[in-house]
Amino acid sequence: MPRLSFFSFILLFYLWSPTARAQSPVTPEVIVRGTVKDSKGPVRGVSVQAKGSPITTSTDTGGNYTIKVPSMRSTLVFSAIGYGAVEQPVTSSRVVNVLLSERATSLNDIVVVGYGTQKKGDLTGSVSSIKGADLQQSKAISFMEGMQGRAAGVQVTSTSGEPGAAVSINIRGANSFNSGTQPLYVIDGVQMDVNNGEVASSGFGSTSLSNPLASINPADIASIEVLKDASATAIFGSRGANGVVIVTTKSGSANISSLEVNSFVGIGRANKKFHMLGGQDYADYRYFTNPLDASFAVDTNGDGKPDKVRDMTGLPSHDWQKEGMRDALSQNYNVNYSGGNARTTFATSAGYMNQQGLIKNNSYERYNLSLKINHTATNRLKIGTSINASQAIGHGPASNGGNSVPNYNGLVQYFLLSKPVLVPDAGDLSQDPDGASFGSPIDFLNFSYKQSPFFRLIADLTADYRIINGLNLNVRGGGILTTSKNKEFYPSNTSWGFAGNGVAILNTSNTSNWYQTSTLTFTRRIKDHAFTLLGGFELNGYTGETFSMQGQGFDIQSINAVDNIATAKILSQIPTTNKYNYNRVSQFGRVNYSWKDRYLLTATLRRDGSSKFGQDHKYAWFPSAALAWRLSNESFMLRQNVFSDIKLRGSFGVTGNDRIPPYQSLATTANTFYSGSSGSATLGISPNSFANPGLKWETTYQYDGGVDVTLLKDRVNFTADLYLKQTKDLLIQADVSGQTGYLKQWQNLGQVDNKGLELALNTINLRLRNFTWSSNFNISFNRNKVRSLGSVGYIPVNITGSTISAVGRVIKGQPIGTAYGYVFDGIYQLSDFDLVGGSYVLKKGVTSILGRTAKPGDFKYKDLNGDGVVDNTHDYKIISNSNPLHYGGFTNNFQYKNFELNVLLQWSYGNDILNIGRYRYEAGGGYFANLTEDYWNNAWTPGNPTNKYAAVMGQGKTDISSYYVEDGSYLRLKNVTLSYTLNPSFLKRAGIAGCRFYVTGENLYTWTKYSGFDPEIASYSPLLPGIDNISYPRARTYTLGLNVKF
Amino acid sequence: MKPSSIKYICLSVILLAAGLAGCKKLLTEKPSSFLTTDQFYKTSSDAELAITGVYEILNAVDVQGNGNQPMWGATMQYLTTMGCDEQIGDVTFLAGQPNFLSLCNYTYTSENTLLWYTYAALYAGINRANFVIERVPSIDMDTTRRGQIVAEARFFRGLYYSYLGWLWGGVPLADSSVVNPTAPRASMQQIMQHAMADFSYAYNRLPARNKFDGRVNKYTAEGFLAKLNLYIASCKENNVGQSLSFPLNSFDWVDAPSAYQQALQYCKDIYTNSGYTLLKPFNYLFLAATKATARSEHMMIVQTGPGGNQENIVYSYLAGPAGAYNTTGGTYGWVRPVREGYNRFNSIDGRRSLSFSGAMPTSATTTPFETIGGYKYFIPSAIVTNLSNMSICKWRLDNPVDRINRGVPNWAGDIDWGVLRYGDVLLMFAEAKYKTGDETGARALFSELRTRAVAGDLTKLNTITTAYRKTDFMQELLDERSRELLGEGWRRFDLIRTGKLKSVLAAMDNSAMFPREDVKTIQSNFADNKIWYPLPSREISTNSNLVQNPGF
Repeated sequence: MPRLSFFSFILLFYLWSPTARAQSPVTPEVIVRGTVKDSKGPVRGVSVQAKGSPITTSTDTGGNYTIKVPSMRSTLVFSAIGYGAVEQPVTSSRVVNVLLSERATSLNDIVVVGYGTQKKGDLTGSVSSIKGADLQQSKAISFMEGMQGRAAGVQVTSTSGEPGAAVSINIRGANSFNSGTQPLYVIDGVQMDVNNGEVASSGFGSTSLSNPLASINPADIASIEVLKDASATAIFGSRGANGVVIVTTKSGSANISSLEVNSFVGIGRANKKFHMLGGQDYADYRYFTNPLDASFAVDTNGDGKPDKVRDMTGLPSHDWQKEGMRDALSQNYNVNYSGGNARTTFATSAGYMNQQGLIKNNSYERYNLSLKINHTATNRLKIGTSINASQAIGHGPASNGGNSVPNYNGLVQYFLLSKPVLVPDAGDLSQDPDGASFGSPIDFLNFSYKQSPFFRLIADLTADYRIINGLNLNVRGGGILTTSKNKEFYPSNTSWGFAGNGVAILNTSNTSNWYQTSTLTFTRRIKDHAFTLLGGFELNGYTGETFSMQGQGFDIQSINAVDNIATAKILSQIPTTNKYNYNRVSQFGRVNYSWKDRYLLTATLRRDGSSKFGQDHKYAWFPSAALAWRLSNESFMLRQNVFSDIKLRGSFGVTGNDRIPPYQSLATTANTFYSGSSGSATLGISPNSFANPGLKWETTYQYDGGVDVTLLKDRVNFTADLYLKQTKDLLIQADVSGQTGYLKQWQNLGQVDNKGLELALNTINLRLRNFTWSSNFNISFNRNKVRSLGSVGYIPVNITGSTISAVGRVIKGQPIGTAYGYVFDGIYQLSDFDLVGGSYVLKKGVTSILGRTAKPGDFKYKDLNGDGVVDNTHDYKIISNSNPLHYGGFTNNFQYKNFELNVLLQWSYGNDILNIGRYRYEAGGGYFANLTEDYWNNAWTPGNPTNKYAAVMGQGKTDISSYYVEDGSYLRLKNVTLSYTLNPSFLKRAGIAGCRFYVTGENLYTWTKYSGFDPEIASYSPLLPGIDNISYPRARTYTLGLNVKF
Repeated sequence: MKPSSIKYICLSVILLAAGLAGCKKLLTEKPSSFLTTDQFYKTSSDAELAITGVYEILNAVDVQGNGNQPMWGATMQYLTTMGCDEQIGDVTFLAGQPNFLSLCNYTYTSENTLLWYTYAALYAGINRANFVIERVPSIDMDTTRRGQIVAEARFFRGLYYSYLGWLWGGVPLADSSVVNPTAPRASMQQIMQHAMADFSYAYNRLPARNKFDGRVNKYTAEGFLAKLNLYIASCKENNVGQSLSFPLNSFDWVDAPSAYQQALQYCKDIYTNSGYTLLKPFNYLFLAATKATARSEHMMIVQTGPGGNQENIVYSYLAGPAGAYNTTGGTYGWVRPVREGYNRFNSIDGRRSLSFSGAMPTSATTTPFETIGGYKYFIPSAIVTNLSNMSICKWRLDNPVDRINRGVPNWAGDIDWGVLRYGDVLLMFAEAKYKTGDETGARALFSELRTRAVAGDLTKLNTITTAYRKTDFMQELLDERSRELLGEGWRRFDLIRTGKLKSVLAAMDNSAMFPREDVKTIQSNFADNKIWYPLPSREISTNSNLVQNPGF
């Protein structure tokens, strides 16, 4: 049998170990036994392989194994994730006992890369790894939140504290203008893009997005690898430009049946509350703004005209945040069962999770079921299948505001803004003195209905055939199906349903995504030359279908009208369907070469075709190359023992992005209805976009230089990377001149650069007999700059759901993520005016505002062009930057005997937030809106000539200005977990293999100057992530968990 | 190597290569939920669908997903009615609508998004018309109908050019379905002549009435020919824009006497042959209940209707009795009248009480109502002496509950919006007669309108004729146009073309009639260059060959 190279061993390990159970072609003659231990005792599930053969077994719960090897000259290889691999020759005693050291030789850790695996030490690219155990410290719904602060160069931001809310992950900065800034996810070899559209949503009253990957159960994850530089990502070519997140789920082990039960319960409470005015203060405010309002003023002298504020004593004064929010409970149960025999292994998992939102009646539920089977059919053929099904259900009415008049405000906004007194009785909106559009938010919460289930099924089949030793064919195929339905009903006793006599909304979204991948891998080592060749072919198709309709006018509201939508008097939105499809075709190849394990080379080439581009631009080539020098393996380094590894890396590569909606290169038409003679709408068809046959790939050129240093016997691990990413031909829906008959077109234009530095330091600070202290520190600096916008002057950034809508611009020479507006320059004071005929006239030389007669107490802005008048064409500038100067995480882990304490601090520094929600609770959001105590007590008055807050009736509150820009820096005590593992010997008698208790606190404390609910903000607009329109508060959570293995 | 290995190597090579053959097909896009323009414009029904799309721009909710009611649904109303002595925006209510507020008080800049959306919507309409003009002639269908469809498309291209010219002056020409995105502005002369050529084409080929009730016909085209001729003639006569030294928008090319003569001929033809009449009573022109009968006078409407496609006009954003849009059918009160418009009426002129009211009470149970054509109309309060509650109530919305039940949101209405009506033609006819030397004939036409205004009462007719009489016929004409066409989108253009906008604004009473009226801002911000709107900044940033209008 030819000697298998180390590379093919790795490949086999990934695909089949610890499950591979090949029958040896030669009758085994020698039986070897032994026990595998680590510093704490026996280790189970360790793969034991006769080196150079497929013969493999694994250790049982006692760490024991038995293996038949071909001869006494065989060598055994012991490997397990989290441990360094150990090789031991068979001895005459036929007993081989091994002591594994935990992460002691992390360079031998197996890292999953595109279409294969590699030893960490052999990597030439920039890859961050996160172990499942670290990930599971986080009790968040999705694994994406668990990645926060754990890896350098990976910026994780959840959009809000709403359960199941979208999570934005930026790897090495934003390098795209369109929505496709999220990385590619590869889950057990299955590639997935995040398409928020997979979760059906009406958009009615909600601009928040849901996270479709929240349906993946974090408890099933064994490890996550984040591929950052082009050398690592280019093998994914078309889809790798934003980085790649590879998720590997747990597999079963041969000869060990393991049942693991994992459960936790948690309680969360809002980590911040706004202090709004109570009943009497609110009445004072209303009386101040309108002394004639009979609801808030009384007539004391009998002249028929109110002259004094009404005394609200005795009337209920509501604190809506208190009444509408709660201590949110969450519960999570998970059962994993895995096992197998020499030929077949399996792992199954079932999970249920229910997380309440901080807002009453809002919750997120998830059911998971997964099955993974690997089977060795012959000693050449291995097949595997995995099925993962999940159902995630979001409950509760929309919590953030929508984009048009009756549904501007959602519950979060209502809790702050709804008036505290004179609230109509439950269900009787018409009593409202301020008109029936405003009622009690508790009514809204109690009577509205919203449910949006999301089902996802991933089915994957793979076969690996060893053609000859060293040459393997792998064929993978499968599909991902999602189906989602959103149902909403706002009855006529809610503010959103009042006008239409009930509004019912129905949306569905179904997608199917199929793929087929074939790869040939050839691995060979000839003396000092080791190489692996990979060639592959891939097909991928995605089809989505949506349906939506909206009905109004329900005479029957005693049952949920959305379940009987035919009773609608009118369809306020006619049934609408949309079907779309796109396909990708790819060929790729990779060479890994190493000489004497000192010089490493990786080169990849991929050709991708995407249906989304113009006829002659569908294909593009994506090459990459990387070199690494393992300095530590040079002979002159062998004598020293400070450094166990020094590696210098350098890479260059090209990746692409095609994540735009399909059909954008075609000349499309749209349905345009016009009223017919009978009065009902008749269909018209109109040109809707003009062809762009030149539409092509957005391309990122990335350069990376890195160094990996391990010293002091692996007690210190240091990685640094410098990179430059240049993205050209950016895909953007650009403004086109109106004379063409069109407003926008998808075009390739401009260039965005990201450059940065990432540092990661892992240290074992103390290693005593019973106590270990280790830490992980990572910090990332990224600078983003728009280098060119082609012929376009700027890209406007507009948001919905606010009176302030034109909030930002993308400008050449500036980063992506900037707000654009006036520069706040204090408040107009009385001294700025002359009193002329009873009215205030600005003194000469005091800046005026175009189109506004300034009054004392108004916002004042800087006159940037010095013409004496402030106007929005000449006196706007960049006023905020959403990008942090640096961000990172600092984890400390303490182990004392059976106790383990893990503390994660996470931060973002130097980023700005445009807190436009503020105008609403600072008397700029309509006369009825409640105010914060802080504002009301400190607002400008002639007697309080502050420069900080405008007068109650002051003008300028809905201008976009730097008044609303705040420092969004924060340092957060993100996660503290204290766990206790019971002694195995003690448990053994009860038939329990392992038992662990833990307490976790999340979001325990946040150090920030930010005045909103929470500084961690990611708006739905990738062009201005740092904008807050009163977003769902984030919970401080305490969790109690139990983990038992049988 | 075993033979089976070779077999598998071959097999895997085949597998790797497989699909390459099918790739081309896989990567060719075949849309499911829409047609490409190449797949469309093939059949007679395609032609009908395409021309309906051209009409759609008139009250489009958005254009290609951008903007919010850029045309007569809302924004076109602001662009044509604000900034003169008929209506004004309420500063307080519009604080949250900075783009609209700036259109009310002349503080707009080229950044104004409403300007951009309307500008783009007009060109989108031209583009849709161009597709019809280019593609429909090769469709195999009934030749008469085919010719009419093309002529209707020409009408709309002319209409959209006209509004571009009136609002911005000379703009780029777009006479093909493929337009050079960086073409510079054409002159006012070219735009006006293109519009007239399109209207003439339509006039010569359209029937007297459209096959589809509510759509345009030859007299609609003729009415706009009259409009354009009066417009260019009076602009020339009054040296409009001359002080701005901006040759692109110059009217030096106009032969005013011949244009007046043209206008006279067109109006006379309509007066004699069109069959349009004055609808009585006057206010039935502006009610959803009576919109079918109103077509005896309306020559061009923006047609509205119920249903889920928002075929309506956002009347709650426009002038109307302020208050309680969701219970009794008022408006948000964003737009209010100014006293000059009201004071032009004599108290016995029936049009005054039909055009103005107080505010709308809130209670649907206690507010009195009247029933017209089966529709329930709540009655607004009376105007108080100091006029502080005065609203325009020409367009009245019926009971919001009934509207919702027929599929119209409570913030919108299904009243057809009249862009051109026979009453306007009578006034244009009068103007043309006067300008061609027949002042007596011109005044006789006033009587036709005033007779309706006093419901046929001859004594009252004499009273108001005397009261309204001005020695300067044009002054009386402009007053009469304001009385008859109040809020209908003509006053601002009339004042511009007669060179009177500046003096009229300066003469406005700037003491506040209602608490948030701000005439002063209008007066202090008006300047000579503001007879044209600025080209939207996005147009200039996407087409560097565009020259901005003077002063912006």
